[in-house]
Amino acid sequence: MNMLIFLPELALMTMALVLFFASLASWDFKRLYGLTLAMSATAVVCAVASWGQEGTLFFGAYRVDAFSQLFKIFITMGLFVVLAMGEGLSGIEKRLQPEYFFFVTVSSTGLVFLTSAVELITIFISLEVSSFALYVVIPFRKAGAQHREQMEAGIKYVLFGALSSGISLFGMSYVFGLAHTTYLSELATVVPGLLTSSPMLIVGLVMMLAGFFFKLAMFPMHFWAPDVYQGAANETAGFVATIPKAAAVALLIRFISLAGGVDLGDFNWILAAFAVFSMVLGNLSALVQEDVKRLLAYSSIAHAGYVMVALLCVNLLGFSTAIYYIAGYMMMNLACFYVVYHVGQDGENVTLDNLAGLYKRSPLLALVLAVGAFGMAGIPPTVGFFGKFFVFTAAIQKSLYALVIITVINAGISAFYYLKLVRAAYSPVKNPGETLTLGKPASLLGVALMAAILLVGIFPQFFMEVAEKAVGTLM
Amino acid sequence: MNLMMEVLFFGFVVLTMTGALLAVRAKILMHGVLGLAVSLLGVAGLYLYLGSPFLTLMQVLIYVGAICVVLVFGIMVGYTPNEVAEKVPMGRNALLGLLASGSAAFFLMVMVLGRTHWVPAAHRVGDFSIEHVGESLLLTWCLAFEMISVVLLIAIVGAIILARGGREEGSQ
Amino acid sequence: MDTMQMTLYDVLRMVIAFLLVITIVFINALVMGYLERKVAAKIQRRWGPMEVGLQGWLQMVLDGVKIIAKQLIVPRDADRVVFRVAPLLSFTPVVLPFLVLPFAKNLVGRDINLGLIFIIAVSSINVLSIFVAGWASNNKYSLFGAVRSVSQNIAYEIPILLSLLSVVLITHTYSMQGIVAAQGTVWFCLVQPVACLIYLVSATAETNRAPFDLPEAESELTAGYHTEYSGFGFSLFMIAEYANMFIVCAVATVLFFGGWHGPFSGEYLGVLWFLLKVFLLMLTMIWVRWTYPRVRFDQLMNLAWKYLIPFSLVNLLLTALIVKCI
Repeated sequence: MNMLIFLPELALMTMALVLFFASLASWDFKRLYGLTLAMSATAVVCAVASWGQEGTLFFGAYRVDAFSQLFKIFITMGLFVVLAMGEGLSGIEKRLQPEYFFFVTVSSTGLVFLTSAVELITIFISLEVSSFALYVVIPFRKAGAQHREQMEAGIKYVLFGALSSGISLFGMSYVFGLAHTTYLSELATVVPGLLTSSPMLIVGLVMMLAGFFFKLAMFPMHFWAPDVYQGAANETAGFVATIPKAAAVALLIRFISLAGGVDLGDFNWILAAFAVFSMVLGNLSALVQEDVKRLLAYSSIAHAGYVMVALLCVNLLGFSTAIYYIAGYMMMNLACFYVVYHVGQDGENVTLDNLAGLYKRSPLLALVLAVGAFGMAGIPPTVGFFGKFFVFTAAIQKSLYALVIITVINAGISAFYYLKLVRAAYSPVKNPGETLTLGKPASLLGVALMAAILLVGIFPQFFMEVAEKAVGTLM
Repeated sequence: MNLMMEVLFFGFVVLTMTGALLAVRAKILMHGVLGLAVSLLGVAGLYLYLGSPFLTLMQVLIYVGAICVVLVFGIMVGYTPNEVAEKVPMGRNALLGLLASGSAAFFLMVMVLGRTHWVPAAHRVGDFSIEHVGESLLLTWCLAFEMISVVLLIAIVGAIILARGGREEGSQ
Repeated sequence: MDTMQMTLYDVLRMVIAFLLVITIVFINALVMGYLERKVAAKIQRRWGPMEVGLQGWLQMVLDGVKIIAKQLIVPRDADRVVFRVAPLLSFTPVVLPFLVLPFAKNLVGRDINLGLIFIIAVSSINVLSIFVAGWASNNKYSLFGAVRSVSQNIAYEIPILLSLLSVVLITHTYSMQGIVAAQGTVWFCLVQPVACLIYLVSATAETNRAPFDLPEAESELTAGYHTEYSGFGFSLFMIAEYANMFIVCAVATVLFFGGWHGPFSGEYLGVLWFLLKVFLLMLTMIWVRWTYPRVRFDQLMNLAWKYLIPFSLVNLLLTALIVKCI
């Protein structure tokens, strides 16, 4: 057997195992952190090394192809950045820090499995693995006098997560009842026919997708996001906001491509309505937020809507745009959370007022925040601009004019609050507060994030080709 | 015989629904758990009706015999007997809303169900020997089977950590 | 057990089997009640019941009549509906397993290929009924009894399942008849001594018998979960307890002591061997009850979690290895 096929999973599982045993021993934090970072970097290398592998494992339940491998690279890289960003874990209860690494790793492992799973039950259980680990991690936040909201966030995440899992499983039972199979490859042969003949399948599919909407924080399943982001520690929120979304998009692409590129029929209308509500609701709510993490939460709801517009094109360009967009979204959000983490040095939440005069306290952080916010607002030459540009191109090609108009209006609204972030960071104040000093590795990470946002934005062609190659294996 | 099967089916459905209603509407937490147990027994009966005795027994063993007992365990640690939940009166608006959304959902479902073309399953697997069950769990569905154990591991470790608050301060 | 192909004959057979089972359950309670009192008396050097009939053998029948005639008292603060349902709930799960017990080669209610799982699944409801009874009484002794019972049952269910599984690994079937048939030459208590011992110990605990009778320890808890029950409610609990003992011993007989196998067992006569083995095991349980003092609760939990479960796991693993190698 070719070991390369399963390499990223093996690397992550080994990492989880080592961390599990390390959490039983009492290591000092520095050593544990170094080990975690090293293993995480190895996982990234393994994911990159397994690019180009193809094959089917576990009796057809698990497919390794360019599509899944691309997302595995995203996830492992995201994990590495989140771990590297949370240097010192200032927001996590001291006694729980070793377990934090373990659970975050297990969650990523679940997501990695999710991207390759091509069988409904396996998909569902992989989703549960990643969710369960996150349910546990969210209340890990350091309990301070001023913030006890981590418990509320934890409970909300568990309850909404359980609800969405239930709906998802219920929908799967309808799909199974109509199609008599749980394998995606077999579903792909019957779904196009059933979409027109059996409206129940649409009900089933929409309910099934609810689980992924939950991960993506999209319209009908979005309400947890602001409270959870606000209540979770900054580094945890950084994880929740980025990595699961990549996997959720991967799954959405897999499911929507089941229709075989034909017209989705009524299914289209439902998803389009979700996309519109997501964008409008997210952007309008974000306008009035004071807490930066809450603002980012609402912005992520809006971004889920943009991704859905790309997915609704149901063609090569649409899907590869979605991949490009979500990759860019991950970078930009990681950049913003990187700033939030370093500004809130004792793990406290950051409000817009706290950002005031950031350019004096730490020019680098202010710059990273500016680049991230410009990116999310869609200003060239960042990755955000080309992401939105491709979304519009793909949608116009499919003559989804109404959607395009709504999206453009929303992009305009969103620019307002992203620029509010930048303005807060660069507005001159009399008393900016103490300077924030960053270590060398932390500064390097900030520079790297900025560089990634700009480079992927300046040279979109190469990345789009990779994404197209990945999607090509599906269509 | 066919009539008897129909009666059996509706009996199980009524059992499930009654249990579920009891579980949701109970004022005393203990009654809720009992309702859940009844509902799960009804589901077990539905599995039997569908010709899957193995699933039926597993449902009884795991859900009624283990999960409900664990829930009971949780209740007896945290509550005193007959502690009555606070009564939340249902306002007129809530009732009207429930009625409107419920009937809308009902009619939509009826329409969707009516237009859907249901195809019965081609064949039914009636083999519940140990070999068959073992092979399907450990070969065909091995990935899902192993992942479930990971889920359980996370749940156990997570529950212990959250309940005990991690390691002692200063042991590091 | 394929419900799709049930005929009228099957239904009739089930009804007759059911009536027989109920009879067995009641008679068993009478016999066991009498035996328990007599054996206890012998061990304690007294006479026991002597007044009614020869050696007092009619005593239990009279007690039964007396208890039925008594008033059913529902405590004022009890959860009335649940309080009344609990005895019935405890009675049902102990009746059903009789349907699949193989009394003799041709004497079995219905031999389903999942028989063992059926017994385990159905008897797992028992603990719920005990808890419900203790809870509904709204009495601290009852509640303590119920709490102890639940923790004890959760702990001892695991070694029971694991020890039974190590037998199933050898027989490759869950069917009770199949397991008996596999013991034509050698009883499994010789092949699986560890599993047998673990099962017998856990089964004693699972039926809440001394020395593991903490849920109804009369010196601390009056009568445990059924303190508040009077009249027929109480007797249903007692009958269920004896029926439970019977089932546990019958399962032990089937899995470890060769079931109905014995000289001259034939088609139907095996039932005598079967009953003989079951009653010998039950007598042993009574013997143990009056011989050993009650354990402490921490000892009870330690025994299950620290000794029985690890040993049964190792035993299961070794069995699997050996079965794989042969």
